[in-house]
Amino acid sequence: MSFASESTLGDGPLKTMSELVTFKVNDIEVSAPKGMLLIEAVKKAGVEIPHFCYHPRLKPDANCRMCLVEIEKMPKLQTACTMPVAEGMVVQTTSDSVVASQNGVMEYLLGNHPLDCPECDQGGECQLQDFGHQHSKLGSRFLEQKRVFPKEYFGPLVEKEMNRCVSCLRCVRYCDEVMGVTALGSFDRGNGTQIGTFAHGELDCEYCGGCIQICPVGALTSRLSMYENRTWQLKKTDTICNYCGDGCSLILEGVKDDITRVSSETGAGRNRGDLCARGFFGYGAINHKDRLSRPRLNTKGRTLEVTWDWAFNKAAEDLKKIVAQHGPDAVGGVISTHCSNEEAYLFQKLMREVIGTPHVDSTARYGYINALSALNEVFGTARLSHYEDIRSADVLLVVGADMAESNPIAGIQVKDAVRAGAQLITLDASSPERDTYYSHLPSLATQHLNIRFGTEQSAIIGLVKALFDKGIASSAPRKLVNQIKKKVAVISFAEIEATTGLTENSYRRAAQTYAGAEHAVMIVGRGVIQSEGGYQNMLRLEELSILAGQVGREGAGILPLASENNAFGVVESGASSEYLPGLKRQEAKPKALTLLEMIDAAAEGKLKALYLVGADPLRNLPQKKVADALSNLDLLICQDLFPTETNAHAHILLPAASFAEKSGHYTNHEGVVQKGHQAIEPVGGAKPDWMIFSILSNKIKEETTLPYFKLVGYRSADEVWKEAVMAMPNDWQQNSKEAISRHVAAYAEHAEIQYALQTPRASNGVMDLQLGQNRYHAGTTSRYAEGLNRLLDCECVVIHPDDAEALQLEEGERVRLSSHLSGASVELPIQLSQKQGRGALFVPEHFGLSVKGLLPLTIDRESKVPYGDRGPVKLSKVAASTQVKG
Amino acid sequence: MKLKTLSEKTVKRIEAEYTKYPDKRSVTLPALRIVQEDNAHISESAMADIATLLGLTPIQVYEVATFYSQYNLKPVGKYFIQVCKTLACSLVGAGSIVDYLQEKLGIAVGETTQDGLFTLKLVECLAACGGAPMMQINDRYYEGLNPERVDRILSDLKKYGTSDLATGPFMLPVMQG
Repeated sequence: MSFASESTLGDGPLKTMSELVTFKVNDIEVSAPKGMLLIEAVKKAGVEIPHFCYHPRLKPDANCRMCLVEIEKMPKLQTACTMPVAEGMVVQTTSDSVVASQNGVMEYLLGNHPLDCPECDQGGECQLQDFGHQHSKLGSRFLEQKRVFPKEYFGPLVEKEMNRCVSCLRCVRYCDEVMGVTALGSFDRGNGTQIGTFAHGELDCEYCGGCIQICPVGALTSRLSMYENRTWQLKKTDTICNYCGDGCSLILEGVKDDITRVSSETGAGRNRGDLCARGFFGYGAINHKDRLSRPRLNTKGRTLEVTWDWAFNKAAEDLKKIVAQHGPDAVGGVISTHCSNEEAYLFQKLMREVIGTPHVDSTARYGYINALSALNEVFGTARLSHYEDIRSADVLLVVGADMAESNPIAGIQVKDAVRAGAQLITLDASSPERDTYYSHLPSLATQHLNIRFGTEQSAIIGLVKALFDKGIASSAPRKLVNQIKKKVAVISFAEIEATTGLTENSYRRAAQTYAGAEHAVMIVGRGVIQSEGGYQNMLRLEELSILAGQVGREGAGILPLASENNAFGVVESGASSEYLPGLKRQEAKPKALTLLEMIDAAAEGKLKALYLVGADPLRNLPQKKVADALSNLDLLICQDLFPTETNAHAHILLPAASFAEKSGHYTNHEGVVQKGHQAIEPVGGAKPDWMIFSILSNKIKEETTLPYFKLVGYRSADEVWKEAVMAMPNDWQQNSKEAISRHVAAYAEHAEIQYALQTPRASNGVMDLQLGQNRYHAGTTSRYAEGLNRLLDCECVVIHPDDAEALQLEEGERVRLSSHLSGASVELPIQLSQKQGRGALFVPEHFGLSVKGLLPLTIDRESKVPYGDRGPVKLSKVAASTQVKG
Repeated sequence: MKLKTLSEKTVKRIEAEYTKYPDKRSVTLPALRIVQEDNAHISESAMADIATLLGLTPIQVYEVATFYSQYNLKPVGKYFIQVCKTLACSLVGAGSIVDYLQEKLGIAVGETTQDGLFTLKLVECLAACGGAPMMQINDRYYEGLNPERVDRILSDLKKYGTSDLATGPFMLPVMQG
């Protein structure tokens, strides 16, 4: 690990270590920041001190004794992992006494370690192997039997081979210090010490895979890639995770065109090497056997596999025919927010310039567009906060986000901040209790604003109103302050309490803490962004941050969480009905249709052709309506990785390459643009989306039926990127304080602010259902990942144990959810969770389609976002006789 | 906060310890002792309860409970025999005392006799090396062991419930004045 990357790790002490001290190691004079641990500082002199228990991500533990060094004027050998470097220190790492001590430690470790390197998956990247070669003498004085532990598994994904363990406790400490999960411990003692779970039970945790990655030996290994490859045979490619918006760097490892493992580099990337279950175990979708591999035509009731050349010609001709007959406005296109920036840019270019239609949109329309456009509207940028700001903030306000489920790595930044002393305020309807081995931010919060289900809108007003005592920052534009003051004056805390269930005091305390912070960061989740009133509620939160003076300055800001990896980038690249590349608002004529409006236009027969790239509206919108609209189309082109409900209707279905099979840039929810590299050749006959757009554009323009390889187009994603960057405004990645305050001032001038309290709702026997993300899955692609399916492979309904007890329900029992609105019903097994709000239910959105049908759909007036994730349902026990077995 | 196993009385006793320590996690040791005193042994669900009480995860309690031989994680007999296996005792024949006990009681180390009277366990140094080899039965020490003395101690315990071969519980010298 390089010295530079270390400094990105713990920001705590290192930040203030500007003073340099000079010291000597093995007669080499070097300088390092004062207080840096010796084990890190000596790297400057090119010296490596052997170690097992030390890890830069963890607090020093000094339990393995391998890093002992000799320091002049100190009576005994010292552990380099706990010793801060000081001026004039003279260190020996290779003296006789140090070598003797290292030999001794190694002799003890090897006294018990089995010689199973040839079959151990860690072989080749094992610290015991490496340091063993360097620091142990040949032979051993041990005659005793090696200890033998029976083989155990930590659940479905982790193999535990205790005979190989060196008891460094890195896994235990990672689980506790980084994840805050504390599912692992070391039990028994002496020679019999082992790592394990409570009473040898199955590992029941977030499955971040951190214990596997941090193990220096082969004691904990992944069951997903057991005994398959030797590590040195694997080709390693740096890329960016394709699941949520956290923007994690990960390394895809594989042989030929088969990805067999994922890893990450300590300290590297936005995630600093930490991963979640999806990142670490979720790669199985890439090489899944169900991947689409040949272009298909659905014609005359038959599905025919065709060549790419044929498919391109057919698509180009059919599109041209429709344009000729009905005009370019009869064509629309929607692209997935999992595609790269290059692809989104090319797609909007294909639609707007080549075909000539304004109707282009992305799946950010399902909610994230609310955040992006509300931020852009007020601040002129959506880049307002980074993970570094979260970690150094003294107050964090997390609104409507279950980060441990939706954005686990951004969640780690919050946990780190709390550990460093930050105050955490959470606002959502979840209970502050946590399930034993799962982290839950409200359980760490100093203030948890436990609102009634679905009342975020009213609670935000409560926070704004509570600011008006003494929390208004001098930087807030007077005009905005006065306007808002008038609006909140007519709303009383009694009304707010009647709706949200929270007292005036709790709002006051939270508002004061937030406004009084030196640097506060607000994190906004799907409970706001993707729920009714999302656009306006996002504006209200932005105003809250302006009034409190917690935005537009160093270290303070707003971070809306994206549940898809490139929601930010796809919109910024121009694949959005209201924006050209660089979030430049466009006034197209005729008015550009959004995703939902395209479906409506198709149903009315105004839209004749629809091009869906990774979009699956049948899953996200009312099915009957979408199915009718799709069957009304003259041409439906779909481009996907897997067969979906939607692309079953496609006239032309094109197999697309996954993120592992192409390079491209992705913009995470912080606005950080990162490049993912191509790890393998496209699986089957798939092609990268950008290549498909490039060839199709040429086909349409050329008016010929040349084979595609004779057409000139973009030769690489990089070439597209160069053009896309040029299409952006000069300052697209910058966010100066001056520009932000200029925008805020302009907003204050023209803003028409709406403050509407929701009406309190009587429960009368119904429960509130929320659809959302489960920690083990993202969207629907993750369902093809074998590893994640071993953790959760079917739909269930999550309920608080108290509610379950009151209804006499037990874990796993099937219940019926029914809607009095649509009359539809669905049967699901229940799962108990302490963090679930009472009276509220949760269903992971990744599986069945039918549960969607229980919920009402409303559409945002401004952003046209369809909200269909929440609503009241009736829950009833399924009578024992009708219980379905299995 | 719902507990599965611990009685209200046990919980009260544990809570009374809170003020003596800087944080709740430090109460793990006394909590385990109190549970053992009240229930004779510490079950897994009792450990989970302690974790709930102290705001820990169950594995954090399990780590501590499995570390100290003083905690019984399984039910023990009426007479709980702990034989010292540390260096001094081992040098003067603790091993054969253990073998003798195993054969006489018909149980292996870690087991309890069928009649529920005796449980045999090996422990680390009990700080009575001067009387090695030695063992502790319930709260009493028995030193200078040989097969004859072991015979007498066991039969005394069966007959009278006590044995005058006991050398008393080990006590730290109390500072006078």
